[in-house]
Amino acid sequence: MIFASTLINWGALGEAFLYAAVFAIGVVVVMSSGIHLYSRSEGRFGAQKVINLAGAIIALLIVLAVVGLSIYELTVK
Amino acid sequence: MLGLVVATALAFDFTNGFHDTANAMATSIATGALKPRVAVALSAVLNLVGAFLSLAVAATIASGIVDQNFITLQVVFAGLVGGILWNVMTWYLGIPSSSSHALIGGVIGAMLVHAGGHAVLWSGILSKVFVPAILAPFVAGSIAAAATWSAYRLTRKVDEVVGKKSFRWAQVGSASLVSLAHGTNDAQKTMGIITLALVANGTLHEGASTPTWVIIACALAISMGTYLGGWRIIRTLGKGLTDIDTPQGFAAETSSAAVLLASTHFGFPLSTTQVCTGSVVGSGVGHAAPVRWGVFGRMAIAWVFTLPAAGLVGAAAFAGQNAIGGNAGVIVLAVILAGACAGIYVLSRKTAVSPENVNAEWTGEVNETHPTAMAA
Repeated sequence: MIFASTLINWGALGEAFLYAAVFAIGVVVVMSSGIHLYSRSEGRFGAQKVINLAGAIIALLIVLAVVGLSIYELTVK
Repeated sequence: MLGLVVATALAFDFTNGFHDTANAMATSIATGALKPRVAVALSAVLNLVGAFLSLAVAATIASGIVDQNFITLQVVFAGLVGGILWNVMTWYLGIPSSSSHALIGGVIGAMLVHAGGHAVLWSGILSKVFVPAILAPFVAGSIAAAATWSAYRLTRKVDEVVGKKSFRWAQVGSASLVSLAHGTNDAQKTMGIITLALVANGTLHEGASTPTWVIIACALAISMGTYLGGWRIIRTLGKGLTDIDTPQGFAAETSSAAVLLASTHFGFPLSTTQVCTGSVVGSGVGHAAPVRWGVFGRMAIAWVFTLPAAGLVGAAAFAGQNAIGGNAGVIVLAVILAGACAGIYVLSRKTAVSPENVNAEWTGEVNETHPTAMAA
């Protein structure tokens, strides 16, 4: 156990797992919500359509921002 | 001698490219989000861009694995031979396996013959190869399973056509990110190997930065390999493990990208292949789709054997070139390597997997496809 503890940085591993989980599940949840809102906007009119579409666009922008941040991470690592 | 080592390193980079195309693009091809040739072309371009993206000087792959003071051109060359042969063999069998682990195995085998066990840093192998290899599929798989479940849960009321179309675009984006990350990581490894060879030869002084021609050559080699497309591995990963739909593909690729980025950021680099395979399995579990555990088991066995098998080849290659001696030994070994690769390629043509039959119904083996698809 002590051997394994000294060889492997479990703290870094735990942090990596946590960040990866938040990133991946977060992006999928936001994107899926955006798709849900976009789907809801179809066949609707007026304010409801605008609200749903706006929500879908915001979701897409969030995902794009996260992807942009990821590419930035790749360049500075 | 140096020229042959550089050429062999570029050949390894090339095999790394076509071996790993599947990691990013297998799910996009399987779901029809991208046409096979478009997918590999996109992946090739992004690998090329990725190779230039990082400003970090290419780190040597053997760092922390073997004692750098014992590294010679012959050790590097024999290690590359082990890595290339394992890559080509596993490609023939349609098994995704880590190119980095194959190269590390080859270098360890050569080093054991060259300088003995004390030149190998066993603790480094445990922490940099074995533990990550065990953890990668589970970490990526569990995240992908949760992400897939979320995607289906949130879009259960969405019109099927709208959902499929939207997730296709999302999948292309996430797969592109994995391709970019692959170019940044894997091209740099070969840059490190060539730089190491240049230093060992006295062409560059220790601590010198990677020459521009090395960066360009490695970027081109990995992207050309990617464009060739390792169709056999793409087929196994896209069709063999589980039946993938667009939300699963998107969740799997996003999870792969997230795990690769996070693990690299926190200094715990994981194998791209093992992460992507774990994600695909996780996307099957998350959707309660049948996972072909037998296929996954075959991959896991190959992962276990990667290091020792490449190590054996590396050791034999080093012993062989030493027995002949001088440049003649290296040339003979290069000819044997080229012959073995050509032989495996000719063998693979008997059951060719191509863009035309890569998505054929899975029948249990990578080289068993429908006769109609084979004729295409």
